[in-house]
Amino acid sequence: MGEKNNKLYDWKKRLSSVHMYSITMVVLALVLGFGIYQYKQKLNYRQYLQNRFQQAFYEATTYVDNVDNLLAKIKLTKEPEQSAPIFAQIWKDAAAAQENLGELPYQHASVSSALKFLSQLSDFSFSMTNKAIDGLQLDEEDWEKVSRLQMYAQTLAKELNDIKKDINDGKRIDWEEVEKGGEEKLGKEGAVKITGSLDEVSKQFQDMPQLIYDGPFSDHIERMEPRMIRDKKKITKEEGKKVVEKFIGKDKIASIKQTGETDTKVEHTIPVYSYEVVLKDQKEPTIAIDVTQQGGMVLWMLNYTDKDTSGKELTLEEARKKAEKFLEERNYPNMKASYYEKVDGTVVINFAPQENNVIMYPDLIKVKVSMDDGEIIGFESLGYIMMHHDRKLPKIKLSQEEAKNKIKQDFKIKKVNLAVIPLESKREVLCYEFKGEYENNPFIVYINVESGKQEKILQIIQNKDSVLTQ
Amino acid sequence: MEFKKNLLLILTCAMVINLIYAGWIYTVTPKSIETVSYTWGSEGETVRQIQQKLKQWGYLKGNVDGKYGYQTWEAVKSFQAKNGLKADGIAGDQTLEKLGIPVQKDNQNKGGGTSTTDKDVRLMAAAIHGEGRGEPYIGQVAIGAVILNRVRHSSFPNSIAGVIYQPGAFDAVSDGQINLEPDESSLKAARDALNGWDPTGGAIYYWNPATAKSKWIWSVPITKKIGKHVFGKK
Repeated sequence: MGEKNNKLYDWKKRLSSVHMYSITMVVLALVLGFGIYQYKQKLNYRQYLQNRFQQAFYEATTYVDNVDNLLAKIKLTKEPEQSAPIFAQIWKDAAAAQENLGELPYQHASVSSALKFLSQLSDFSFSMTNKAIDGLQLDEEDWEKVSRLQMYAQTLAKELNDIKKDINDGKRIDWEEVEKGGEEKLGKEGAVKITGSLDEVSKQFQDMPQLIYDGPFSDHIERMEPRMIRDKKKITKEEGKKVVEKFIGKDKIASIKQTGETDTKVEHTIPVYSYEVVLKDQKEPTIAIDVTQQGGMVLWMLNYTDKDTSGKELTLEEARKKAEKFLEERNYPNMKASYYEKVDGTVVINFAPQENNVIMYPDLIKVKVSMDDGEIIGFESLGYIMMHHDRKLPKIKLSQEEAKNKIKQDFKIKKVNLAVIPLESKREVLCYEFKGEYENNPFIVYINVESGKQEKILQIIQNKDSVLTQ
Repeated sequence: MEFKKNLLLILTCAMVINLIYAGWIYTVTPKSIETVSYTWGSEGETVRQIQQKLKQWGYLKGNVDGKYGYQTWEAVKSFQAKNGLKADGIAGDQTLEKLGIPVQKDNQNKGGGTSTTDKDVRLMAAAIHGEGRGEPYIGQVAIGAVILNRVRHSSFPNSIAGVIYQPGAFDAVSDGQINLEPDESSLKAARDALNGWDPTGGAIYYWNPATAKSKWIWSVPITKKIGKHVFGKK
């Protein structure tokens, strides 16, 4: 103890000599300088960020103003060719507003309804643009939706402009404050609204009614029911276990553990029982699998073992045959392979059923095969469970030759099929599927068998490891 | 004098604290991602490519043999000097880029895989790695699935990058952990998620019940529990 005190004293003494004093001062000055530099830099970054947010905010406001304005104008149009360009403008501006608003640091709860509104408005306008391009008149219902959307656009524009007015009155949006968000600041007269807060908008948008139209953000998509299983009986956990046994092969399984089940109170989700499987040659679980509570079908399965590769490699043809056999044995008949992608010693193959020579692309099943030994290590059937049913197909009004004439002449057709394809809105259309080449690049063109409309063009991305479409 | 001594003592202490603070700031600042470089002793296809280019442009005197030896080193050095790079004889990202050789990371699938989703795989794997290191594999796929479910949802930005970088959406983005090099498992999980595997039942939120601060999040109905996270949708 005494020694320590001595040392401290000694150190103090040395420190107090003039020489040490000046060294200390120099070092201190350096550290201080460093600190000031860091602080200034922090302020710079902070300002930069504030400016970025400010820019996004102003741009969002401008686009919402545009949209509000355009929605007022569109009600004056009569013919499709008059409304098409305006809908196209709304489609673009609403998307830009959504993008800018999405970049701002609002809490999700306060901005989500505004984002949803803008997504839907943009999406709806796109679908209306298409309708107008097809030369179709907007019907009563469409106009009613336009009026409703206009009402909400007005509300949003007003709120954003109120904030802008606050700024013009000399208030600043402190984005850090906004980010912390939600809770209102306490001022002299009770709660004071944070400048820039969108809580008012979220309140007013709360009871926004469902908007149904032909597009991917339409509210009907969320509420779709799984066609394959909706009328089927509910199974028990034990029965679910049996399904797992049958699916993976009882002789391979050491044990099955149930790890969870979906609370049936949750809306718009497929209730499942979840299981983990330990295989006989493993100690830990290596397979996760979900079985639907209704109907007892396997929704998906993943085997995530890190396998040592034996160095062998199957050909794609062999892998496809293994997958086909796997599906057939599990009661998925007539499944036809379409696209595939090879990655890390595995291949994922897309399958769709073919019924009476029509390929049903919406009823998608993906199978993952190990290229090493052909073991099936993944299965995914959400598309199949959601969409598979006995379809009543529309009457074919266009001959193959007539449909061909709808395509650009120098498209070299190699193969023609009939196929049901899902549009982005999940609406299904029966089409001629023309596979061919244009300027030496492979494409698929889909022509509607009723209207002759070109519903989709897919480019095929092809290399030695994959055939995919875009 | 006594006062002066004490003052000095206090100042010294302040200084030390300051230095510790600076050191801490330095260590918590995310480091840039490590890159692959080629130098003495390197072998393989990329070295062969480097040699081929250097030979073609007259820098390399020796043979194209796929082995990084003295002559290759000299050639790389003179190439670097000519092109305004640091002439250290090590062929890193910048040198490779100037040579026109596509930079390949070791843990990426070599050859093939030029599909358009490749960039998304990497970004998503980085997000999964930052958010879900140490989670069970299915939990990692689930994080990827939530990102994709958000892209398809109207209340969120409509692209993968938009969703991942939305301010405040993911902790790993806010604190820079997304810049860490994704590991094999995250890359695999990202691919499974992009290929359509969704263990979450369509969830658009997930949180850790032990650390979640937001009260609002508890109003979200839970679809599934995997590892430390619960997943939900509204």
